[in-house]
Amino acid sequence: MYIRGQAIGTTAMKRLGTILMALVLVAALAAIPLGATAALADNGEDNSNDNADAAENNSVEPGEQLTGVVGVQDAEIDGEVSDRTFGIKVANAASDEAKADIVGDRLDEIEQQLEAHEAELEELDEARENGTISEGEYRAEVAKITAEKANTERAAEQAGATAGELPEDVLEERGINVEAIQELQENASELGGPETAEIAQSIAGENVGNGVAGDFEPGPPGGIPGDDAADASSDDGDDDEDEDRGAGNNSADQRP
Amino acid sequence: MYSRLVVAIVAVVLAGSLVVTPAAGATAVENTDEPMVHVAVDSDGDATVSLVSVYDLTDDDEQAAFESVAEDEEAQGDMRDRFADRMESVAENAGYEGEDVIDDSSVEIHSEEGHGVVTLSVSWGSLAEIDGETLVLTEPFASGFELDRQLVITGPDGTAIESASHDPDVDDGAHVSWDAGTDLDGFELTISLEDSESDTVTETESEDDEETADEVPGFGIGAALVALVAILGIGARLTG
Repeated sequence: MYIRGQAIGTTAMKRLGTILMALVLVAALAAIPLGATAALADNGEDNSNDNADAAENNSVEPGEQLTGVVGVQDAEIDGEVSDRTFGIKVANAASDEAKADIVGDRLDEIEQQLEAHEAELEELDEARENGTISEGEYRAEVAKITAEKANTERAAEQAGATAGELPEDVLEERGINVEAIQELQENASELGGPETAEIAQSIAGENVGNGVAGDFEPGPPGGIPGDDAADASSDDGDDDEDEDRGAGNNSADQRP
Repeated sequence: MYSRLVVAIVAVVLAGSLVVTPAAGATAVENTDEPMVHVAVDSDGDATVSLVSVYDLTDDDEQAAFESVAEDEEAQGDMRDRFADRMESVAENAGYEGEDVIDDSSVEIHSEEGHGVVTLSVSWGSLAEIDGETLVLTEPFASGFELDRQLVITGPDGTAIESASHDPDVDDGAHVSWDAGTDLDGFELTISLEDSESDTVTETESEDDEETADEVPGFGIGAALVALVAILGIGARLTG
């Protein structure tokens, strides 16, 4: 009985093993979509919670934030191109007089940009107070202007650094004053107060308007420098890269 | 005999799975000289979101400056990372969560005479919601997104736009677009998956299996179970 029972048991065990294996595999296969569904359901719950949190903690709608992100991203790239353009122009200038002319043009642009930033921020403040725009729209626009303002600030820094290397008489002839340039830089920095920086951060993170990290030494295009230009390229290149990251003339206009 | 048969059947199953797996993968924006936000939606709801910016380069110095950016991998990496971080923040604000929601960020920069183009892209997981045989796209375009450039949306190959909350300015079958300045508040776009290419591929490759779900790569769970039962049945006969 024992032996037969064992023999019967062995056959039964084989079949039982086959059935169990099948059940385990079927269960495993069935669990895949169930698990996926559960994960999706969990994710859905999490998303709902996030939405609730977002609504509670953040008055900016996703679309409004995306608008701000697009504006900031564009401004930063524009600043980077402008920075490099300024560096190349100075590096290509064949004389101190030519460099001073480039700085003078740049300062005119910086002043215009500062006025524009100021006017835009005032207009935005009014629109927010009047209820013409939502808090989210306001924040998105402020973030973009903050990035542009940072470009202007660095442009002033770069122009000041370049001017600082030029003979005073050359600067005086053109009415360029290094201290006045530093004042422009400070004005750009202080425009809108610390609130604008916080708003920009809430839209696009901590590094809004910071110069883009990169490996760039301005020099004459095509590598056909004159002696002066070659010297200027080397000197200004180091200065530009180390100190003046991001400044520029904002002349690479973005297409609407 | 048993093991050879099992190996053969498993090989057939695996080969079949590979053959009929839909060729998913959102197509990044094609080379364009027009500023736009481009969204290429896959049949699984994932999408590639691209921001295309175009800069007029008015002189040789600007051209050289732009080309220096195009050759500067470090600068491009910084731009790309910032864009990815920011899009991740937008995704979180829109209620998407998870490390992989925003992935595969990239930057492409090229210039031609007189203008330069910067394209920043991210892959956005489950941007569009799958609702039966349709994909529904809403956020982040439905809540205060102000278009300063075109919004272009491309569906999976062979799909059709079923409905749109806002009449598109262009609908050529392959894509739909809205011009700059369009108010997209309450935006919702529904794409029908019934005629998607993934279905076509499945039907072509597996003529006897007309109801293969396009959401699941390969034969699907049902077919796998049938194959499994067949294997076990044959195995039981051979061993029994």
